[in-house]
Amino acid sequence: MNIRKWFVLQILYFKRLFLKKSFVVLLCLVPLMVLGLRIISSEDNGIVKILLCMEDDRDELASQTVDYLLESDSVFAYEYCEDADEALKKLERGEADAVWLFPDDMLEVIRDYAKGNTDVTLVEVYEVEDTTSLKLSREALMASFYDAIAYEEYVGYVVDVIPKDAEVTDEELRMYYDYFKQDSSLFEYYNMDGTKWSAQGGYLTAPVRGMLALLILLAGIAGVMYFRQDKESGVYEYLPKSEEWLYRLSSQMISMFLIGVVSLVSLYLSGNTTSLPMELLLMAEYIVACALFSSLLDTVFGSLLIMGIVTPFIVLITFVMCPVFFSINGLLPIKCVFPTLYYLNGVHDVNWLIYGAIYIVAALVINIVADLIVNKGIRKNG
Amino acid sequence: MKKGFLSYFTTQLKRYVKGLPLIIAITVLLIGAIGMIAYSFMKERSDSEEQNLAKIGVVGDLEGTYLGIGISAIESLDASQYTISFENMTEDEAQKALSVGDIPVYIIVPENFLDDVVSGKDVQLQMVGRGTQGIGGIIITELADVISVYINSSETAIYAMQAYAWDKGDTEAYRSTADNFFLLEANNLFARDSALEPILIGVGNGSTMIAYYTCGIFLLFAMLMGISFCSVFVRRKNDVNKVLYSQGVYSWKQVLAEYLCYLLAVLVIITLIVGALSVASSAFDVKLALWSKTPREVRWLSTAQIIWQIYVKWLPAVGMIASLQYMIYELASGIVSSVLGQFLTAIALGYVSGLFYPMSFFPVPLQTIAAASPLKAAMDYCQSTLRWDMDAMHLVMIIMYAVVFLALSVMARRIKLKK
Repeated sequence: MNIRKWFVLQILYFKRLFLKKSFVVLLCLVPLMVLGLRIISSEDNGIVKILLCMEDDRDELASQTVDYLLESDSVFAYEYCEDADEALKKLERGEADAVWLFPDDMLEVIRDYAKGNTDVTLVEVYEVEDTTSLKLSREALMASFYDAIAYEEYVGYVVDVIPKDAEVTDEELRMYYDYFKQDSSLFEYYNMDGTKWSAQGGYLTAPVRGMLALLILLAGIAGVMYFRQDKESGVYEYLPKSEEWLYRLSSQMISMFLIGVVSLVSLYLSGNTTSLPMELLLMAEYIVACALFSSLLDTVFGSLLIMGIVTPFIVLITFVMCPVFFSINGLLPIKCVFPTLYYLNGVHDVNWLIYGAIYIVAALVINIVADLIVNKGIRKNG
Repeated sequence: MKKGFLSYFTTQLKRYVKGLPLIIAITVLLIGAIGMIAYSFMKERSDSEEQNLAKIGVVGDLEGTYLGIGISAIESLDASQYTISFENMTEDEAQKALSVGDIPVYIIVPENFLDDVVSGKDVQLQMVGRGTQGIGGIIITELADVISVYINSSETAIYAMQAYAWDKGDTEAYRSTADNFFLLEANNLFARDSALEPILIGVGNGSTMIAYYTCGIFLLFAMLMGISFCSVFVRRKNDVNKVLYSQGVYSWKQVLAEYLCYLLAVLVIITLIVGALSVASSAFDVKLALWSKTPREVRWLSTAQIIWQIYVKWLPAVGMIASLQYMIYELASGIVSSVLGQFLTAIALGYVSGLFYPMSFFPVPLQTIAAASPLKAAMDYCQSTLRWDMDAMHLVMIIMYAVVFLALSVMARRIKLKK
């Protein structure tokens, strides 16, 4: 391969991309959009909106629980509503997902429940539809006053069941309970690489990495289509057929490189990053993997029209198979076909970096073989 | 003048018709392949004893700890809604399962966990995952916090009761009644579902989740379909358009003719997909759950209703999306910008318009911005048709957006032609 010719072609390709204003606008737009999302995601929000109401706002336990929920750092958005009827109207209008109505004698209700009378209604819950998120929210509701239930269970048991000579005082009972009480969470969250697991940037910015990964994959596919378009116009007529795929690979990597740089900047703006060397390594591996993947698509489908039709399906399947918004169990052999899987899993698991390297070697071999077969077919057909 | 428009429209139509058989053949093949994968995946899951179960690994010995209470409490939830199970495994097994995505997290219980708790030490369990991974990871941490409260409070009550009885020297009474106390705690915890049982009110403005996601997936697919026709758009020749302009085929005529041809081609693909969905729904008895108009209750759509309710009533939304895609092709130059522009518009607008998460997930400022999004109008409109009360306001908004996108396309074409 003539290195000088190759280099000149890449420079020309680079210039052609930057001559298109829409491409430059697109490059600037991505980080700006991510930054906007980051700013907005710092506002209060939640996966479901719950309206909290009290039958009597003078009830101490009900007030304490409502205050605790309003101040908690939760995935649910709580809002206090003075009027229960108004809250129910909001629920009917679709302005909230649930209404929780706390009783006027909450401590009495809890004492009753703690004694084993489980037929009582602790809090009246109104919902539109019983979804998984709302079931989880009811668990959070129970957890918000479960300590009061456990304390009443203990007090009731000590007073009623254990025989004693002297009078038991509330202070004494509280002292024993508080001695064993743990305020911190039972769990510490870690990633596989030993780093602390935290909900950096919140759940709104969590899918940003996946979406940017799809953009890079698409840049690879678009790059290969650009090459195909040029080829169909006769731009690369003078290139030897055997070297064509190398030119295609390197030119498509230019658009991917540019989108990759923009994606890295966007990731830092979103706040969802690991260490810089790790990010660079992951990105470099992902760009090569995507370039080989899209290059293979081009060899297999061999037409701009077919590539265009196949692309939305590839994007949709990648959405489902790789953990962009959610992850599904199983179908590992199919998932492994998509380079996005290695990139997204590699963020906190070094093993996937190694699998990614194996993927690249395998994809390179398949590319060479596929190219040989296609070129042989072309030569045979004259 | 009229003849000029018609002949240009016919020429454009021929361009699409030329490639359409291949487009249809590949679309059918791809839908078939995706359908087969989805079917085998669903079948494998329904045949499995552990259907839809998300396993959480537990490394270490749980015997003698009260961790079992919290775990059983979570497992006792309605299995059709929450599907979580806990499985004991070695650390190597857990790491491997986490790495390949078989489990979302695993918990490590330290060897001296029980002794540390009894001696009043503030001990913690390690939960190992692979980052928050979006909403799934955040739900797991929320669930873990709930388990943490159940376990901490139950343990505190039990140890306080034991210590009290021990200190008072009534060890016999403690021994004979400790199990009963434990049972009382467990019973109360397991009864929480009925103590907080929701009162469901089927309401007019809300959609069922399945109806919501049907709208979301449909609109996302319609948005991504814009990429399919990139080869047709990037081959347009500006010089030819200039010649046509000089012959009376003005920019608005060119745009209208091209848009109508594009819309027809999109409709062919959408028809194929809805057709495949209808066949699949009757063959595999998959039905769509929606709110009925009166009384407010969940009802199921038949195949014919799916076609009427989705295909026919959603055509205005498809038309508006097609006009948006057309405008992007008109504004972007070159295949790379066009394809990336189509994707970025689909994903960004789709995200803020509530195609992936319901709008209630988003903070108020984002909801305010999203209210101006054309996809939000399309989403609201499509959802309203599934609630049997087609929203005329959103229909008008959709038509207005389509007109604006086409007007902007005409302006862009005019600038190109005058260059």
